[in-house]
Amino acid sequence: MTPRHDPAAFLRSLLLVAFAALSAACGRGGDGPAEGPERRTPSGVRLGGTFRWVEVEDMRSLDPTRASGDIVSFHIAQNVYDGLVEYDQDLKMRPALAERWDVSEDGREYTFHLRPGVRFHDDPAFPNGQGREFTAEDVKYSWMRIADKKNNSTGWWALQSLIEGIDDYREGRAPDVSGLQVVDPRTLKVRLTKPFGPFLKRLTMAYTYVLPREAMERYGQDYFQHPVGTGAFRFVSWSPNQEVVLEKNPNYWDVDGDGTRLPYLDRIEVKLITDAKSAFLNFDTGKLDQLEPIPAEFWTNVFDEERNLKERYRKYQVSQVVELSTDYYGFNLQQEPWRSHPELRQAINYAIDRAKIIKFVLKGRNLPAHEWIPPSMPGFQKLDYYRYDPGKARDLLRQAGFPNGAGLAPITLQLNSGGTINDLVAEAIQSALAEIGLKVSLLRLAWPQHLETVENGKASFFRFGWVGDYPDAENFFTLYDSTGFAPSGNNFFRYANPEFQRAYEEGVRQLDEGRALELYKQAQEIIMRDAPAMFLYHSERVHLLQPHVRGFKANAIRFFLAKYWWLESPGTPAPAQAAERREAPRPGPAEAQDEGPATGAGGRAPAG
Amino acid sequence: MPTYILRRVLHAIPILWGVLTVTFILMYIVPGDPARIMLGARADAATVKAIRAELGLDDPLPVQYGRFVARAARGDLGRSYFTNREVMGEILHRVPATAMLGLAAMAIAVTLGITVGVVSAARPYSSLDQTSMLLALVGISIPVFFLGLLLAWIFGYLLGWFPVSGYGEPRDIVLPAIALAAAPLALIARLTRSSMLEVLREDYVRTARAKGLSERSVIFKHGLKNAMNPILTAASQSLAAVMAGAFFVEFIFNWPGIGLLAIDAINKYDFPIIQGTVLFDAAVFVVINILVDVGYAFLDPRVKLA
Repeated sequence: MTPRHDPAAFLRSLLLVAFAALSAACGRGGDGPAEGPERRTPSGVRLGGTFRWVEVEDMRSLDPTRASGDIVSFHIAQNVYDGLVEYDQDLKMRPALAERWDVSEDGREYTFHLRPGVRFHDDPAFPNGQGREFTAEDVKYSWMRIADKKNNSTGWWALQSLIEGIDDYREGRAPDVSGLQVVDPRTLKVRLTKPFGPFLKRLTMAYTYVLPREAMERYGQDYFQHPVGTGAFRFVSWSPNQEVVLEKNPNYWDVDGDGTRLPYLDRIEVKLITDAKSAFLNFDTGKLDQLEPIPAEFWTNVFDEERNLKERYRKYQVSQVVELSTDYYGFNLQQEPWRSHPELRQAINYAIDRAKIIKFVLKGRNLPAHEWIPPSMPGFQKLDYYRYDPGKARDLLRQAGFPNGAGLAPITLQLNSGGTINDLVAEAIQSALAEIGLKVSLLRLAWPQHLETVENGKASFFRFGWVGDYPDAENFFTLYDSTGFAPSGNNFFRYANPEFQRAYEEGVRQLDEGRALELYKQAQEIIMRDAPAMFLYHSERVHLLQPHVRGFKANAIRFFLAKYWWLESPGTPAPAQAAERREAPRPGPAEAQDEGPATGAGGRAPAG
Repeated sequence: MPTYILRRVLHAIPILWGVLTVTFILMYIVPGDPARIMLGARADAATVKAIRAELGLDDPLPVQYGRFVARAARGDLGRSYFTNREVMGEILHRVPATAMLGLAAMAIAVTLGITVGVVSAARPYSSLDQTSMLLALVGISIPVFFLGLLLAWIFGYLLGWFPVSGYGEPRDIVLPAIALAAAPLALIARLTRSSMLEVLREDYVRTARAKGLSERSVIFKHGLKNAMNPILTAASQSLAAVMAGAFFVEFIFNWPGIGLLAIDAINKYDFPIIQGTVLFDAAVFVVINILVDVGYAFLDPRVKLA
């Protein structure tokens, strides 16, 4: 019997309806640069638009006492708040909330003269919702929050034992910080416990950003949804795992060279996309204006061996820089064989062909570390230690009493698990050391356990890295400060050398940059000679930008200063790409390559 | 019925307590200092010690356990190590997104799966039937994360028909829902087909046809209704698979649901969030099972809820 109603026909109809519905939902999306009536500054900068950048993690907190603890919060906080001083994209320090400052003869007292007329963002926390002018009291309040134990600030180390009375305040021995004196609403005096050359540089960190008491008292634990600052952008919203939205602060204090009030952009949308591959696809479909990191899986799709963009991606811009960071494998100098055999440590450094590892394992990214201080540090001094020399490595092994590794127990290299690249590098190092007779086994631990064992001095030979907080070598030398063994400090190596300590402590006391650099050079020579670590490489940051992006400049400290960025008209091609070639020569065979210093600060040519 | 439901709820309590205990023990024995994780590598030892004291991490295990259970019973699952926000709040904030995605996926899976299964059963061994079942086999076999990537790549990136990721627009849910629906759709289609074929061979169906009832009435009123039990079972089991698969799909499409929250927490060793999401998922499974059992009774009067 032929059925009157055909189920197959019913299915076909259903599919057609579904397809029609899907088609209605289709369509190329993408925001692109915002359009509107064109406004430009006298120098031709186009005003307005929405900039979309991506972060591959969610934001942690916009409370300044914690905002430097993760890079995402740091990127966003820089645009919502201001500190007393700041860096521009070329890593030149400039006044911010402090117009000028005086430093006493002994280097211990700073008098900050604050910028008048700077207002906090409008917020219901203020009467009539209008942000008031910031004062010296706000600065003092903000800094005392760092010291207040109940805030559990991750930035306490930045002010600990540095400002007079701050330790007493933290421990409850004093109700106030004697070294922070509000002279009048526009003047703040800060008295240090000792002269400290990098003090102003520490004030560029997000921990010391200024916020109003009213907002913190009103919102309490919910402050993260209502951050209030004086920055170029005001906070609009945060959808966890989705986006953070900022809008232009129309009353921002900073102006450009033409006298045009910054920022140029109307809006920022920070897209929080956990999967880096998905972020890449979003960028390539025009949904993002900036992308970093470029996932390893796509690296060779995008770049050729000379780090030029391949045909398909040539429309984009590249902005890259050698970061202020150093990756290393540390030796625990309280354990044998490291404690008694400096030649062994030096031998290990000579046995590694860093250039080859970077070329084949890291696809040409990163720069071999022949100094502890990265070449992007202002005032970088090239020392050029530990060029690959297996012959020298074997000689040193013999001097250490372990010819071809004989008599040496197997070494365990500890690293954190979950990082494919770290594993590949470790395996390459393992092979390299095997060639001079050293047996190395790899121990992979979950990050919390790895961190704990390194900090507690249980790990003997371990993978770690250091990313600079501000562009001063002092920040990198803290890892060798013998008064700060981990976990109290950052000296994971348990390194103690009085000669280094003298040069380091004398260097950080200097207010004169030239004299400080001389002492820093001495300090670094000592570290390199003593080899408390196997110095591996300095990381590079490579940003991809849409053709219409202008003003963005990668910098060594990862500042995201969106007030300088702007967007050209939609469809405008990128500026000529010739300027985008790397200034730092590529690593090649170590003996033949004169790598030279990379540019000091700021790295590459800007996009636009 | 109410007695049955109450009994099932009471039975659920030891199950949830078991899950609570297992997650507590696992988090307790996993290496790593929670205070250090919370504060980061730069925190000073004194601050770490203060946080440990504040969280009671140095208390004896039974004390920590008792405190944990007591708080969980009140709905307090602690605070995130990273954001310091309440775990329960974080989870509840993301429930709508996961529920939306799960419901969309199940709606696609159930409607299309039953439809395909019914049509295949009505035309057994036809080319339509064979094609449908082959596609169903592919749908069951293909890993959900791979399918998600494939859909994002083809329809999002290459063709640009849908966003690669996003949340908030109607188009944003299409690809993730299809990725998540594929396996349960395939399973339901195959099960519907086999269940219908069995039912359509029954004497009462032959009788219905002999009485001159329309084929539609035979298939839907007499056939499908009686074939629903195993289909309902498959659908409820699929719901479990959907919830598990949602983790991967949410990650690939950056869908801000509980799955993405959990993956983020796992990457960051944010233990309170991990515990909270595990407990929440366990509670959802229990509730779903109760609802399915109750659903049987409504669908099939022969089923008596003991």
